[in-house]
Amino acid sequence: MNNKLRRYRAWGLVPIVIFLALWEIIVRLKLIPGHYFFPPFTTVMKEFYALIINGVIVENFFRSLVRVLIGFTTGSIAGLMVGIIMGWKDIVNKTLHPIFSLFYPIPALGWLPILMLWLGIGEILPIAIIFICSFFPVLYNTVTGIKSVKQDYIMAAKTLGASKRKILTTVVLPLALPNIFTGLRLEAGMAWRVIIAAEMVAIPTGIGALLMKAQSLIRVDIIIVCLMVLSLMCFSFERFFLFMEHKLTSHWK
Amino acid sequence: MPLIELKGINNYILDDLSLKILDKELLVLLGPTGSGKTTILNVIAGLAPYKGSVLFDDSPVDRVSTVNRGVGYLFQSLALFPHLDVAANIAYSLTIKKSQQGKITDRVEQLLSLMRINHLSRRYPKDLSGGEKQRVALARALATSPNTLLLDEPLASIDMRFSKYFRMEFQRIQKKLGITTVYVTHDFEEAEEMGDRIAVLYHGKIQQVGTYDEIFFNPENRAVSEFIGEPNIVACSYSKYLGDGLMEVGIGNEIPIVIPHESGTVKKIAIHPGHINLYREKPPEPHINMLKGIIVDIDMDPSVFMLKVAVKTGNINFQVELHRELFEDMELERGKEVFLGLKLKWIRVMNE
Amino acid sequence: MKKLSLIFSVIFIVYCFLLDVNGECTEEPPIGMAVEFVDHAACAHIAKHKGWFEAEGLNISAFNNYITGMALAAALVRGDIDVAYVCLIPALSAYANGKVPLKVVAGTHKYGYGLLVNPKKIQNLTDLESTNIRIGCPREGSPPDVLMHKMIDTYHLDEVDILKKIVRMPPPKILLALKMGQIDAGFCCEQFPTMGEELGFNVLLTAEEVWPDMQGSVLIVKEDLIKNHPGIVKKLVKITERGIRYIYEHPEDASRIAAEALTVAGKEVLPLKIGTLASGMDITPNVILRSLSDRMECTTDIDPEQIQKSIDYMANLGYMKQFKAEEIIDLRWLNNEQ
Repeated sequence: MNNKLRRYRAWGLVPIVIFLALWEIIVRLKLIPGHYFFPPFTTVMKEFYALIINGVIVENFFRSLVRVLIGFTTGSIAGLMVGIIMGWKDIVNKTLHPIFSLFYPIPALGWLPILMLWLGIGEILPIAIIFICSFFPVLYNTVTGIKSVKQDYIMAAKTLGASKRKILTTVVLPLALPNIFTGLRLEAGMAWRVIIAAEMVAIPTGIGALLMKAQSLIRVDIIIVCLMVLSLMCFSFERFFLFMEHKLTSHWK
Repeated sequence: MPLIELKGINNYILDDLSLKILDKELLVLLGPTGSGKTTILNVIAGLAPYKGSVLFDDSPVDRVSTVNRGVGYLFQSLALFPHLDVAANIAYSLTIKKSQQGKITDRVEQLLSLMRINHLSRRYPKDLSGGEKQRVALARALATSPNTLLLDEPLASIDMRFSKYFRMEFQRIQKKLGITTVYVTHDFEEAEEMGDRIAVLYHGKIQQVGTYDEIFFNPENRAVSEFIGEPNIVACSYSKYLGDGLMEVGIGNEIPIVIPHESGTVKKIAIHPGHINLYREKPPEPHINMLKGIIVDIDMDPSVFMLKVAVKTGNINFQVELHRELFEDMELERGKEVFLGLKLKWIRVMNE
Repeated sequence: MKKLSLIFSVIFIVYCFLLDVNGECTEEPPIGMAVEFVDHAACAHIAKHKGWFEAEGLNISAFNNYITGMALAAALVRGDIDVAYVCLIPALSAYANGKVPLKVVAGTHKYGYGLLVNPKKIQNLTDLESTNIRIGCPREGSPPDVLMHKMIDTYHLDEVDILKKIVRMPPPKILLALKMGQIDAGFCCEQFPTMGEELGFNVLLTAEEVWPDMQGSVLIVKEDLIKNHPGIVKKLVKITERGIRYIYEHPEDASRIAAEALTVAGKEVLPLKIGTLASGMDITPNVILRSLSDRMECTTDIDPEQIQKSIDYMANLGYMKQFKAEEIIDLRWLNNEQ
């Protein structure tokens, strides 16, 4: 069974290998018109290695990473807390839902100009953007998760002697986890996309800023390296939450 | 075990409802969908709002929360917590009460053995069959040794093979533990098998409370009669034991009828209109429980016709159910002579 | 059949007429030309205004303004443009990093960059190291950015400290940001420092002071053009020389022409909002005159040693790999070798 799974997973790598091989061959043989601005895969990887050795990518990556971690963690926790209260208490939901629904549709990057004026261009700016990016989706997924818990479970818990708080912590929240994880998983990747965009526009450090520097220097290889890092981080973060969701809920879902 | 009393209960479904449930009895709440059966359970458990009073052993519990009413509830959907395994589901109420771990383990083991589901303790609800879930839900409801047990259509989602087994098992457990139980169903046969007494409910009101015989043989109003299927009820003039579990009774002008019965004096027999065979011609032998009659009235429904047949000798009328296609095939009409066969195993008996 | 021949002949004659209003059929291929949206390309704007390209029989199919080196490099590669009047430094990046096959065939000016400051906050260079100072500068790899690094090296300023204060933005936005108090100083290219003086700001440092003989902008052409149409390249160099001569001989008229052209160019290339705000700051002939005469030395001369110094310095900054200046220079038309 394990061999079968391994072989199945290995098949998933085949398109990637083919893609990389095609990339290398097509560019080396100058088969496409834009080959000037499309370095071969091996050139990009050499530059990747050089950027790791000289510390440039590592430093910028960690800057972005710290911003994402702080912003995402605080935004998600805040979203979770407010979501729990709104999901559990109908009166709170009725009070806060209209105002949140006004802010929710605004894309996180849309806040950039006004936050630049209010907060200035410092570390707090990208963290604030990521906070907003994470807060609303986690909030709404938490509310949805809590409200989707069947009334029967809550009534059963009552008859079994659970107080309201115990019902929330032992029944409702565990059953709302799949929805909550969906929100976290989607936003984990989105946080990276947003931070790159924010750094491209306003912040002098980070992967996004490195991407803009590379653009001004016409270093397409570095641009591709930055995009690879972005892709890897989006994938890794989403995978992490998928793993956590699986670990915590697969045995009963 | 308490005597549970509902006095003048009014809410969105129940209409000035009063009911007494006796100590250790298994009372069946019987009625069609929407009649308020589940609402009564919820009122007893404190899960539904109401005006009026609920008393446990003469003490009002209206201000007592569900948590403190000490009822065990088996929901129609079973409501097993999907994220907890079987043992954790059963132990839930004990864990909430912060009982000692050792005591929890012992109690869970005890209940697993009682329900004969020891092998399921580490499984999750998604991996259980309908019958297994049923037993786990019951074990969970019994975990804190509640004074009262409420069951909401426990056999609704169980296949027939298991439901019979569950009925037997449950009766055994209920009698063994002596828990006052309120059991909801819409199935009259199930009510007959399960309940010490039956309360028939219709439009949020109690129509009749009594034993199965009392209700079946003496429906107090049309609503009850319609719900239990409007059986043909006939008084018996004599009864004579024939041996081999069979008895002969006389109906009408002492028309002999064979019934499955062993002892006592039979006062009345009853048979459902659907359990009577109708023939245009006299069928071949044997002619046990065969009566000759004339169709005196036909009540036409879209799919099922109700024929009123007057038995020639005896001054008795039988209501007979016949499907439309069969009726049309047989070309029946008022005044036609027909033969009725009373199916032996469906004849119900009321002793003196 | 006769009717058909007549119709085709008429169409052919009209076509030839439309090709050249002077009655001549042009034989040269169409050339896409890119110019900077600042007065570094004054000579090109003058040549266009005076019709010198057409007079030489050149078919300029496009005369586009570009705001970034990347966009210009991409346009060269795509074939949208064949010729560009552009700052040397982004041309070096396009060649070294973008692998664009181009050659520098003539210069247009030396210097032409400066540090514009708010005199209330900054009176000398060491004030740049004060706290709460923000300095605007275009992106890495731009001439003002290279000038900024040169300033740090020359005057031994704290590089880490200065770089922390840098806010990256294009030159028109630097002027706006200074005006709105969002920054206190800005490295930018002419004509913006001179415009800034009109608004009450000071030019604290010029390129000439920091980097003697710094090559400003150049005329670049694609290698294909040199290979296939060397005659066109010769004509372009001659027109450039003529344009620069005109600036010296008729400075007021040259300034007027450039000011008009740049006002239009600004609206073309700048985002709407900046364009609207920028149009409130007029590009007047007086500003262009001062910019051309005081802040730039307009000349087609190119010193290969200075080109090499620029290459070496950019390589030192890590912006590109080093290469020999001879690889990118082709001065035969300038030196009248052809």
